[in-house]
Amino acid sequence: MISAIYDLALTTGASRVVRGCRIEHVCGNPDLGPEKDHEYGLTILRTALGALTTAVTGPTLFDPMESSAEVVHAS
Amino acid sequence: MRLEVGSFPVRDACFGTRMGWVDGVLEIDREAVLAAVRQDPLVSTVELEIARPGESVRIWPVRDVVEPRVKVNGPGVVYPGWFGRSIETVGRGRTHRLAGLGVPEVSSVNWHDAGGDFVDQYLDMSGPWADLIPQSALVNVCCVVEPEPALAVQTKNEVVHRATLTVADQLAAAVRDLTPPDVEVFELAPAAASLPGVVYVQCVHSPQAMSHSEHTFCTGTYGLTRLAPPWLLHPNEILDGALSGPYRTMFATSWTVVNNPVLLELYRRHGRSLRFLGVIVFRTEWTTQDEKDLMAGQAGKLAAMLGAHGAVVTWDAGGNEFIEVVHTVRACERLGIKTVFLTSEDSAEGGAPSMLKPVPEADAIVTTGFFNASLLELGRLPPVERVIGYRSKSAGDAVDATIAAGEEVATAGAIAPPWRYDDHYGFNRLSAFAY
Repeated sequence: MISAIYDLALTTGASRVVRGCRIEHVCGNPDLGPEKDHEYGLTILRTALGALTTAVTGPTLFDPMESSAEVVHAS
Repeated sequence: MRLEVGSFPVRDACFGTRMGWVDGVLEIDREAVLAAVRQDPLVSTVELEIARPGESVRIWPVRDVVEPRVKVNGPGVVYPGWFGRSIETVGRGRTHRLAGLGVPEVSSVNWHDAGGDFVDQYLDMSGPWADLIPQSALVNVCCVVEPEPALAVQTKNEVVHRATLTVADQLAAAVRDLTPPDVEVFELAPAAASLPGVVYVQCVHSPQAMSHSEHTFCTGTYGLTRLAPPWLLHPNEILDGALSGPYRTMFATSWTVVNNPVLLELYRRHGRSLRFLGVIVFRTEWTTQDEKDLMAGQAGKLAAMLGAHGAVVTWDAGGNEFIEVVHTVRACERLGIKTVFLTSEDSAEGGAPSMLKPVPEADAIVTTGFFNASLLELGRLPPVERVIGYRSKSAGDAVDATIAAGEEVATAGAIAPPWRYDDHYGFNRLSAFAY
């Protein structure tokens, strides 16, 4: 699940949560301009695809801005 | 900061040849009031109509209900900041109010053009919906107003609310120089340090993120509704209308906020069972996790810096805003501040949780019912003899979430209640039992 409010997604038990940008534009950021926005959107998508191929044991956060997944379990 | 509030009870209103209040009856010079509104060249049409409790009357749609108030002395104006009104800090001196009278704002103007917000609130003056809505018990002097059609939607909203405030100003002026039968003094006088300090965290929705409007609608702080870090207000400022504005629910109108029982009860207990420290006005609908958590942390920090032992948290919206609100509860609790949360609940149908995110620190919650009016099982509300406002409603005009696009519905007929019944501040008398 790609979510700007990732904390809520983790709490509700989604196994793989990708950190999105904002509620208004979850999978991109128009402030970056067309080229960098496209690049950023691709990074989010690749992170999501990477998450699908990663084994997890509980709700886990994947941050597109970091190379490896940050494991955060819902409290 | 000392504020005397003089109340003039109103049991009836009538149109006459002069403005005056005698023994609970407000006489209104209709032409004089309308002339004041028409001084704004952007007003296209305006009418005044009176609706009394118990009458077979429906007011549709209602964007706000304003209680007429007026500064008798002290700085500033009531309902400050809106569209050119003074922004001078209010809350001092003397204010007079017409108690039991409301000015409903009636117009077909939409909040914005971004979609998703519906002007579908209405008032019945009798029947099952009236029994549940506090403004239905008021003598309502309705301002039915349309701005010039060529204006942009944001300007239309300005014109409509300014017209409503002008009507309220005109009515309140009738009691400005009279001696009120009842005066209540509001002052946070020094109180025994042994009493627990309590802060009120009043969360109010911002339309900025979704409608891109900074002040089109919603409860404004001195007219501002934009996303901003928490404000600290003296409760007297709120009694002078510094927190007011039109909104999409009867439980967050201008009338609601100045008559908020949570605010008034905390105030009346000041120096007796608690020390009322002030009101943290917390703007909601931040749109990243970090912003939500930052603001929640700042609200908790402000409460701690004020010396709070306890906090009462309310909110006036739904959906994702629950996160920063419940994280504020958590932030306060983690700082050792005992915190009570007032909220409506989401529908628990299908086994869903009735709150978006459970937080263990939110361990003292008062429910005020469900957001969704359909759970009250009122069915369709009975037809009425008279409609104030618009005789039909349709999607795309004054948009309504309860009807399908293209459908045309007579507002005088049997229609569904507005879909929100979100009693944010505990006005209602609903009760529940476990079985």
